[in-house]
Amino acid sequence: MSKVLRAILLLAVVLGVVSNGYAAGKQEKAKTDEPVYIALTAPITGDYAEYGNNFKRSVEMAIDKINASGGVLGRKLAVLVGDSKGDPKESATLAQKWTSDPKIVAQIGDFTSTCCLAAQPIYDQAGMVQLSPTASHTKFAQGSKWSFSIVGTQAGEQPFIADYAYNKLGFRKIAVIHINNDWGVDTARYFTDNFKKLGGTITAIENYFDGEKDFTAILTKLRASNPDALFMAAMYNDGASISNQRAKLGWNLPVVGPSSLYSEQLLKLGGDSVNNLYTVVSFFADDPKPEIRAYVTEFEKRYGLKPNFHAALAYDAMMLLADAMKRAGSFDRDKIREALQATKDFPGLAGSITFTEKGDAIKQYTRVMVKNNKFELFDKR
Amino acid sequence: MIVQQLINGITQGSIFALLAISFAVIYGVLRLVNFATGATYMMGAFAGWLTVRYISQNIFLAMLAGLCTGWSIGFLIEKVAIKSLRGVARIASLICTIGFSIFMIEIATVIFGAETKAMPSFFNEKAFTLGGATVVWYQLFLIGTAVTILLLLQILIFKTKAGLAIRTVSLDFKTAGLMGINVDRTISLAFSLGGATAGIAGVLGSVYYNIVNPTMGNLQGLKSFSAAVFGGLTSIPGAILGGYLLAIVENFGVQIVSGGYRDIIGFVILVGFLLFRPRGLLGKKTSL
Amino acid sequence: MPLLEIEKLVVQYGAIRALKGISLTVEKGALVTLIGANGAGKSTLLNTITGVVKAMDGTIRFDGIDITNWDSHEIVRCGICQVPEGRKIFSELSVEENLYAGAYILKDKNEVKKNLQMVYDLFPRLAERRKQEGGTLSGGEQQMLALARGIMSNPQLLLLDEPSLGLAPLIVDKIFEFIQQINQLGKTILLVEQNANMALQVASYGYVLETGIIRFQDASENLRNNDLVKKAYLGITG
Repeated sequence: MSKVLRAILLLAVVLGVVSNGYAAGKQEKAKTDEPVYIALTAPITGDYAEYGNNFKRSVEMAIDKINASGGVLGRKLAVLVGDSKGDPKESATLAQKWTSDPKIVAQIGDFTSTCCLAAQPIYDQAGMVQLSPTASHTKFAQGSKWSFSIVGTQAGEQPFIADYAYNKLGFRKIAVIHINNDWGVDTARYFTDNFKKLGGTITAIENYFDGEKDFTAILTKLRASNPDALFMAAMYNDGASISNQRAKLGWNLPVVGPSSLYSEQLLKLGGDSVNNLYTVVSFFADDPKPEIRAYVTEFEKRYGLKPNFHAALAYDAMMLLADAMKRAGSFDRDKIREALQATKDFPGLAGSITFTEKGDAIKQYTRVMVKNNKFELFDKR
Repeated sequence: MIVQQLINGITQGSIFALLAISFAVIYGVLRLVNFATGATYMMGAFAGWLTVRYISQNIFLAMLAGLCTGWSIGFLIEKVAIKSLRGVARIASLICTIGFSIFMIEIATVIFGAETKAMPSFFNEKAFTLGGATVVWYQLFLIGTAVTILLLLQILIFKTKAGLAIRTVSLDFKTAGLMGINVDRTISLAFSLGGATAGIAGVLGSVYYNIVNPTMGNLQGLKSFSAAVFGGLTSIPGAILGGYLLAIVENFGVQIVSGGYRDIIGFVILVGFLLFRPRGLLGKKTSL
Repeated sequence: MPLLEIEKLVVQYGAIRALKGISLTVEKGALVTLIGANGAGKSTLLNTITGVVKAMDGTIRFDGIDITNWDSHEIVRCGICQVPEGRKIFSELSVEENLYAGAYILKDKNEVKKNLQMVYDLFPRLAERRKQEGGTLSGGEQQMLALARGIMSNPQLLLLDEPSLGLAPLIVDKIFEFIQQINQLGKTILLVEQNANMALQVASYGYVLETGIIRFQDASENLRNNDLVKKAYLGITG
């Protein structure tokens, strides 16, 4: 009996250490003087942890900046962070938790479209703003009047990239590799549809599941279809792995991909194999604009790394939310939603934000490419 | 193309085979699936990464670091999950290995951060092309190293006294004790050996894929478990065969069907074997 | 001084008292038997001597040293070897590997070789089958292997647990011959048997165990002529 107890205790300790870390973080935040609470849902651990942590970093930075200049409507803001682990079930559970807490006025997150969609019905029913910095699935913002996304949808981005590939880069035959989740399927579909519309040929399409580390078999198969270029609907970590393994196979060809590839990590992990890669951004960290320089410098100072596109979007999301509260003149969940819906030309770091009636952001894009292991503006060549 | 898929499969299979052995050695002596194998693989990779980054750009040193780390983790798991829970239902130890897995992943996340780290390449130059397939030296190095380790383990288990102890304990630990074999120490040795194999595999795998992160072992561990079941969980040669076959079948599955079915192929094999031939390809009838 | 000396040994499984204070001695070089019905506690006694089962009370002394409740592998190193009930051959190891396993505690390779030659001389059948897997042997051959494995480590004391169990009568005779030969090689033997008739023929002294206590003890000769023993264990009525 005592051994059974020991087993249980041991497990409890192991799991406890882990969860306590986050609980402690939360309590610290709760001590501030009656602040207004925003919930952040993000994958703090798991496969998407680095994106989630960038969310957290940017949102905390934005809140510090807002509070330093007097807060919103005379009150300070505070954030409660929930770890969805990139798991739709966790994301939905957190949504239950946030919406049932009257202290919380609005929610930022989650990271993946899949997680956002899983939590959507809960926010919709409870009536709380679900503002995702990054969910780009076309169904997301359209699914509920409470859902907003500021990344721009693949329906907006992919025609631009297809045009880039066909007209600017002159590719006619493209092979596609994509991650098999809501986002990846959507991205690949919008790209192939638009590329074919322009007159291009898709030579082969292959997908892989989350967590895959070995892409050599897929690449070998795609290679046999003999394309001009490879379209890679992947996050930058997978993108780097795919490129590394492609180089090992001795397969050198240009790569095109969505804005999710734009990251310093891609360069660091991919090395020389990511040269000759073409993508678009709405946030470019080396942009000389003063507000972007200020954000990048501050981020680097606080966290010792360069912010990427996703980080900038999370920062924009927090700033936008604060702006909407100011415009609403209230912390009422309903009023915040109305003000958010009315957003027009909000000057975000990752492009200005105007919401369509459905809650999608209309974005502008900049063409970039990787050369000598650096991102460069394509049109300035 | 077929040659390329075969080479891809053999390279990947080398990593699977090492991990499958790690499962098999431990399952053999204790009839316990060590679910912390994937996490041990990851810790081995981090040890290799630290070595390469802070000590020396030497892959052999990195492998040594992976081996020592894996060995220590295996040793520790045995002390905590097995020895302290002796006499409790087997399930307690099983859950404890899962706990260890979560614990190691979280610890790695806390210490190193969730960000994926770049592992440098070694011997990345093209060795030769064969039938349109490109082979880099590192692939040959990886396969060669894996085969060497597998052979050494084979010798250790079938030709040495310590190996005889492992085999007798795995067949009948009570009678092994009556022969004067120290059963506790033998179980501990098997865990350390299994850990060390997983640790080295972590270094080899991370250099091949050029990445290190806290979740890198999750899928790798599960697939290797399938490979071990495929080959026969109690059979060392079976585990090796299972590792290579699974990877080759997967790679050809991608070629013939689609990349999206890749993991399905692996797990269909797992479920199929558990249902219809639980002893695997080479496992003994009496073993499971 | 006797080689094995057991005093007031008590063993309990949960609420059930399997041995209720047993005392027994085995002199050096002797072949002593312990007979009794199924469930009398015979195997428990052997398992307690070799540390597989722990004693609650009492002492076990071997060659003057108190070895009560030591770990099995330590007891084996002292020179006690148990040949377990049901033979317990390592079925997937070859005959020779089984023998090597028996010699596990020996450090000297020459000694192992010498012992291997000794058991092959004793059991030529095993020499013929040295490469065969243990599990493929017949019951009688497996018992020979178990006996051979038992003496590979040069034990002073051999504990035999039901060596005749499940064997055909002709083979049983053979096995008992081997047991006597092993005894003549200088090994002290404590033989646990249900086949009391055979056991009392080969042994010089016997103990009769009944539900955890020693009921009779005497020279084998006398036990065979004891009416109560005859009736209860030798199947002779009247």
